Amino acid sequence: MNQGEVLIKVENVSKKFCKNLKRSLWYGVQDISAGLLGGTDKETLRKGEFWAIRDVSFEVRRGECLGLIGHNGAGKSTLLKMLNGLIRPDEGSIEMHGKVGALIELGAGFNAVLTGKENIFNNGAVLGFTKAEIEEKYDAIITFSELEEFIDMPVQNYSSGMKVRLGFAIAAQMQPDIMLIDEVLAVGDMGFVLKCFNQMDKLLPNTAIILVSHSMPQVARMSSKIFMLEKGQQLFYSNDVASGLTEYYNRFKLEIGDYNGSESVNLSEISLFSEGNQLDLKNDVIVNYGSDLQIDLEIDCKEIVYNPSVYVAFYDKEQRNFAEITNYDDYIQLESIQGILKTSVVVPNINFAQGKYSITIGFTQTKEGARETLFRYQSAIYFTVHGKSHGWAPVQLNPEWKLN
Amino acid sequence: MQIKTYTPRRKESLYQLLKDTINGFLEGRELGYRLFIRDTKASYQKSLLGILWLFLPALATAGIWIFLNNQNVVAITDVPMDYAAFTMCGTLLWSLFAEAIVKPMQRYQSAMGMMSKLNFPREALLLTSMYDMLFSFLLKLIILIPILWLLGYPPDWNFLFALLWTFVLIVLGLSIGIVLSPIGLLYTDIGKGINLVLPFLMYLTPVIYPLRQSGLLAELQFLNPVTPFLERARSYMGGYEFVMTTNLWLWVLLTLVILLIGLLSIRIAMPIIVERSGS
Repeated sequence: MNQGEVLIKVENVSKKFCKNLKRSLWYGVQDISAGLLGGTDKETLRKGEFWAIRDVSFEVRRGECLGLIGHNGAGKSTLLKMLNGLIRPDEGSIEMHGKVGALIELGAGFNAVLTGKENIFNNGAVLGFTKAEIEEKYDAIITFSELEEFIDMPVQNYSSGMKVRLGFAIAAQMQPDIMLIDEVLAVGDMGFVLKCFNQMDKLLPNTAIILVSHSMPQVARMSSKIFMLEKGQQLFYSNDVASGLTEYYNRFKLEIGDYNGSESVNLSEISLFSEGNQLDLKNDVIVNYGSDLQIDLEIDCKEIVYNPSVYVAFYDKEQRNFAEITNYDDYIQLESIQGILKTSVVVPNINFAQGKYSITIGFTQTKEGARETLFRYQSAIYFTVHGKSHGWAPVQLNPEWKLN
Repeated sequence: MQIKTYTPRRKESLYQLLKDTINGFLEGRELGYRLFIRDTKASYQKSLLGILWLFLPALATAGIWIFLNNQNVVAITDVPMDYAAFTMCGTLLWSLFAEAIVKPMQRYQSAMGMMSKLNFPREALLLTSMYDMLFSFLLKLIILIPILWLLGYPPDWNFLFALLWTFVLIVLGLSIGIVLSPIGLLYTDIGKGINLVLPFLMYLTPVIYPLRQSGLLAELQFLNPVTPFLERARSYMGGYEFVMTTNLWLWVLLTLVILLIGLLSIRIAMPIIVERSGS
């Protein structure tokens, strides 16, 4: 096996789809007869058609993993189906070298009333194994799937997670040259997903992998290249995984945060500074890893507010609240205030992983011993951390190491 | 290492298409058999009468006609063998043909989900259709042979030829089914139309009555591809004379042509169909 040889070669591939089913079926009939009679089907769009994939080119070598990312409907699955030979490109060409293992939908081909064991043999045959080969791998499949107890039970009684386990276990034994993985691990439990990734790590040196996922940590973990699709077109293609992921997060529009509070007290202005510059909140807000972040707030108190306190929370894109600032009271104690309250805080070292985050601002008062929330802006501002580290965890520590 | 290239179909030659089809059959052997075992097993797990369903309809049709004939409601004359045996053979052979016509479409339809997610030789499904038909044929023989024996037609060497021509009849049914599949998988009208037309066709075919010598029916049965194969098989079973030799060989040739056209067109059509069937 030649490390680094090109296994997947995609050149100027385009695919058109039709939005209207009736018309699409009729075009199907036309295409079939054109194919049979050798007529020339035109390369232009017919009425109601659009380019689901337009002029896409890339290469994947043995030992590389291409992270194929993009929003829902960007054309990722269509592209994968073409790579797997299920549907044909309308233009361009695709070359696939070697045995292809596609995890597009695990368990496709399972028969519900048959047992797990029977389905292992059937599914194996669908993937191109002979009976003898499957028998040889049978024990490894069972061990990997951890389904010993349930293997003689009909698959219709399996949970979706169990089906994925069985499907992946079968597919993982294929030792393919090319692996296409389409968001199949979403239903597995954490332990199994990690196991799958370890298995893929083992396969990777001899395999070219294309991974489609909406989980950027997963993409970051596996990929050595990023290809980003938007509306069927190439938006980003590079070995620079970190920039690719940043690009992905930036494509999401800034959402207007939920506002929760009273008329009389509200947040009138918020501004961010980093490395001495004010950040333009109308555009993508980029903060470099390790730099400082200053948050300036202006709170308009039309009523009198007693013992005010500000609370800041950081959320990651999966809406986990992973960091917060709750020490306002340690620095500022005002018995009461009316009018504009201006305050600011500097977070010295934003050591967050590559990705998109939001800031939630809360404002409270303590009156006669009772604490009361006056407003809470959920995700008042989004910002993107740009940097090299993009591990699983939102906080990426950067300590010094030495040899002892 | 195996290299697969996917390009728009218009850039591929007929030779390549033919080669791919043959390879598909070779690579799909194991899978075709597996799918047959899988579905046969599965389908009888959820049925009490199980395989009885394969011959009940044909037996019922035969039973009705035997009864009607006995009651002289309809008078069918000049039957070259015992009428009960004659109708029994006829309806069972016809039911094999009717089953074969819809089989490829059924097989493709039920595998559509698989086809939109997995790349496997599609020809495997045709092998599965063939296994389905042979299995159904076998079950029908298990019923037919003892009944014929009882009615005075013990199986002899000629019966082997009857089997051979029944097989050809099945191939004819499958071939027509394959040719209809590309459009039939896109539009449900084809499937519905077949269901509507098949019963009429049965009465236009000498299934429950012998070959006609003259009249419109005689002309129709001359054009009918089922007639020569059905008659040839039944005449070997019942030991009577067969008179349509020219027609028979003409239709053997035409069956091969239909089969070839069907195989090539379904290969062209399948990606187009999968694309439109969603997942």
